[in-house]
Amino acid sequence: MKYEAVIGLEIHIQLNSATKIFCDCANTPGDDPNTNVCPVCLWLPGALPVLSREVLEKATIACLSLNCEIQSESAFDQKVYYYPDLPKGFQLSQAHKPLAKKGWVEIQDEQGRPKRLRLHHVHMEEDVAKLVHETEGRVPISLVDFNRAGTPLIEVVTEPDFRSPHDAMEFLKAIRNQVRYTGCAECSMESGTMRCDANISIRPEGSDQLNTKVEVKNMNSIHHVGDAIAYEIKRQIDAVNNNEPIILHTRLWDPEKRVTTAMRAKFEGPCIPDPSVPTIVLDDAWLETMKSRLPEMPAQKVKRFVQDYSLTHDEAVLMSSERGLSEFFESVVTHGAPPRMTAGWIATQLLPALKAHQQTLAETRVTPQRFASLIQLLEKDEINSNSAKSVLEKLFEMDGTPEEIVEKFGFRQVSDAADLAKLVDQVLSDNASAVENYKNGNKKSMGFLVGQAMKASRGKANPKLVQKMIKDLLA
Amino acid sequence: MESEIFTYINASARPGTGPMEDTRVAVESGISVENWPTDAQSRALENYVALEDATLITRLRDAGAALKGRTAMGELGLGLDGDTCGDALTKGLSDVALKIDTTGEARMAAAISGCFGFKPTYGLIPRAGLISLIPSMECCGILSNSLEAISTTTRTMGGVDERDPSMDPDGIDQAMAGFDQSGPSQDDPLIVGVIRDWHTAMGLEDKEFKAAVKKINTAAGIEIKTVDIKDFSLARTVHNIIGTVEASSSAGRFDSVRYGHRTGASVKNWNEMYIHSRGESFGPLVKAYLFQGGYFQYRDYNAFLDACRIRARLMASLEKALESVDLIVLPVAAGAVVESEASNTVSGFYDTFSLTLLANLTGNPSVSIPGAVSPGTTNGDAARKALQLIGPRFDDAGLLARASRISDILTGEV
Ligand SMILES: [Zn+2]
Repeated sequence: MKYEAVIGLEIHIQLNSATKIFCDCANTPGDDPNTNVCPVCLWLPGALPVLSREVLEKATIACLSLNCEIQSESAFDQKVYYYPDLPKGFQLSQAHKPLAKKGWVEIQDEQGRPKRLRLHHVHMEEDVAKLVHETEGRVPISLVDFNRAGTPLIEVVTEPDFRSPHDAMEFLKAIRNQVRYTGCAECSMESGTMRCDANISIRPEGSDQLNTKVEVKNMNSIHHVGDAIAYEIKRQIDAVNNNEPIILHTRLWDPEKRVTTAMRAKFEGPCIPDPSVPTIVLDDAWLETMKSRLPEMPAQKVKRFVQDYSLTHDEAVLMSSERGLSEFFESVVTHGAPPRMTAGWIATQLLPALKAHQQTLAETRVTPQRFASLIQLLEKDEINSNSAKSVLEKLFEMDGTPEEIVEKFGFRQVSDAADLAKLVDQVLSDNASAVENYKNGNKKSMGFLVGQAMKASRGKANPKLVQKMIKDLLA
Repeated sequence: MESEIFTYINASARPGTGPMEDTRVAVESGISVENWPTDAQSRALENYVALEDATLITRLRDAGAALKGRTAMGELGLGLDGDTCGDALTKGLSDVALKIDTTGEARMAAAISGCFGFKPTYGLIPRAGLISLIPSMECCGILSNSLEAISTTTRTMGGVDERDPSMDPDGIDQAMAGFDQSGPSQDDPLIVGVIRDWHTAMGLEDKEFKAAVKKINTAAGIEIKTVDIKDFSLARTVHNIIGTVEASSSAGRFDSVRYGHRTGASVKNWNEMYIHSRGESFGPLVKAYLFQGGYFQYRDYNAFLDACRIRARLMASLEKALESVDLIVLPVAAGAVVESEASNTVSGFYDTFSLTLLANLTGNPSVSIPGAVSPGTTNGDAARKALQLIGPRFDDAGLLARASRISDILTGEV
């Protein structure tokens, strides 16, 4: 029998608000252990949670970017479980009345066709403390770091619309892009600001039954999610083929061994409404304000880039993939650089150079203004592309405008006909056999001859002019 | 003698200046006072010292009150086993005593010791710094021999607090304005409501109550009117379910890891540590209470949902009744008031507080007026002779003024 997988995801995203969700402690869990704590987030007796406005706003904007319906009324519940990372015995989470319902994200399926994946809801919750297990000494001990306790999360719960690891991975990339665009979260699986659990079951292809699902946790990259799901689908199909039952439980992905292994479940009870955090009531005016704070999202931006700047669809997608990148691109264009040449140079030269220098667009010395001047020099044939690459390298190393750098290092392109004529004459007389070949119809020889001329000029000759002169001379 | 009543005496208690500069205040140990032992009388909080003042304590300090020390209380605010806050007043050791009221504890303690007990409107006085088991009902109650002192204390402690987001700013404005106005006079017509059949459904006796109501009715300008409170007889069960469920969840933080008693038994893992520590920490009533909450939470959640719905109906019904009367009068107790070790059962607990818990469920203000108490009076008799008045939410000043008038009538001063 042929089986298909039914997959749903639960994704926790840590919001980047300045404070924790219910107190004024800094939302920087990586600081020295237990430095960002107070009676509220230590959950001491008598302390009351006060919902942060900023967290509510950022959560709402993130939900809007995922096309969710924001609920006019939502509330927090106490999700009861006992574990040392949660010493008060319950986590404040929105179990019964989430902040947002529905929503969708569009991805491309394996055949490149657009596919919409639906969300069930998005809710807010507080993160729990972090356990650090020290096993080195004679007696293993577990330490609790409360810096993370009370940091704000949204949990995105999807419909079981996914059929393959591909869907899940594309979905994660898509929501990461959307939410990052809003500036409300970093969404990095590697650094733990985005975490994903997958619920997986299988069924005979074409059936619409929902079978017992298995939850898989502990994937800390998008690729791990894909690998873990692929492994788990195969494991379940093998089990069914061997007449073994699928039991509801949780498994951990082991990235070293590339397998999932069963784990003991935490005890979880039902949720009761929290009596201390008031019901969140949102009116239309507030919601409109939040909508106005939603930036132009990638899909709209792609359309506009194609329309306004005549980029190809692929170029526009690339230039819109990150908000910072799209803003850099537009800024360069606003400084007068031609859009398509700019997009091409960002993609093929600037991004790889940034990577080599381990810099980001936000911090690099290559400002939009300097990059725009460089592209303009190239466009006006004042430098050739070889020189432009050298100038770009200098822009990383030193201050000064590209014009100054061109002058200082003599990168200006030689376009003077008299200078070039001398150079071309020399090249043609030095390479008689290539000239012969060209005249006999071997067009490749032209490339060789131009290359020799460029070399003789130490890269500064205008290659287009050189080619034209050789052509004319040999015609 | 002080040491029999106070579990902790504030050696540096001295009055400041302000509206409460002549007032000595006893504070039970479920209300946080910075650097004071704050164990809510539970081993689960053994040696716990509060890091900060409850907001209401800060406000009392600012008003010049002298904080006397800690009185003993029932474990985690449940019931009155070993409670000494009434004694602090009757023995003249303080002028006002503060006691968290989640089921009627402050009003009952006052009735037993022959003084006034007041539970303000839920949300008028900040909850920040209170330690109890039932957050949706917890409210700082005030006991005193003087209704005027209760009124001043309420006014001092009341008002919006940014640490407590569950407060209702509009209601608070209304309530605080009430303390500034002259309020109802002794000659205004007053309509007193009596809940229809309040005793029959619960199998309680109403003889003493009838006599008290008759006496009130003889006073000039007072009319007695019967009101209907839908589901009144279910209030006890509703409180039982919601109270125990909230308690079961709230008590989760007493895990013995960061404070309180930790077991000395050798344990294999942290789950065993929790179980032993909690088993050794909680007394029988708290244990039974948490067990019931666990039952409803895990085995009969629908009962909890039903209880929440009936609670909402009770609130609406009481609010409607209070549109046609100025206040509602009930005895503080009518049936058995369990006075001894036997109070360590949940049913005994609810027998005792069956009539006071309505105001905790609905959040309305309620004040108890003591009956005649002499040295020979049993606690049960004292509670049965005491009356409680329930008024509209956020009309705390009005209720206290009317309580003064009714108290005068009952003691024959009018
Ligand atoms: Zn904090």
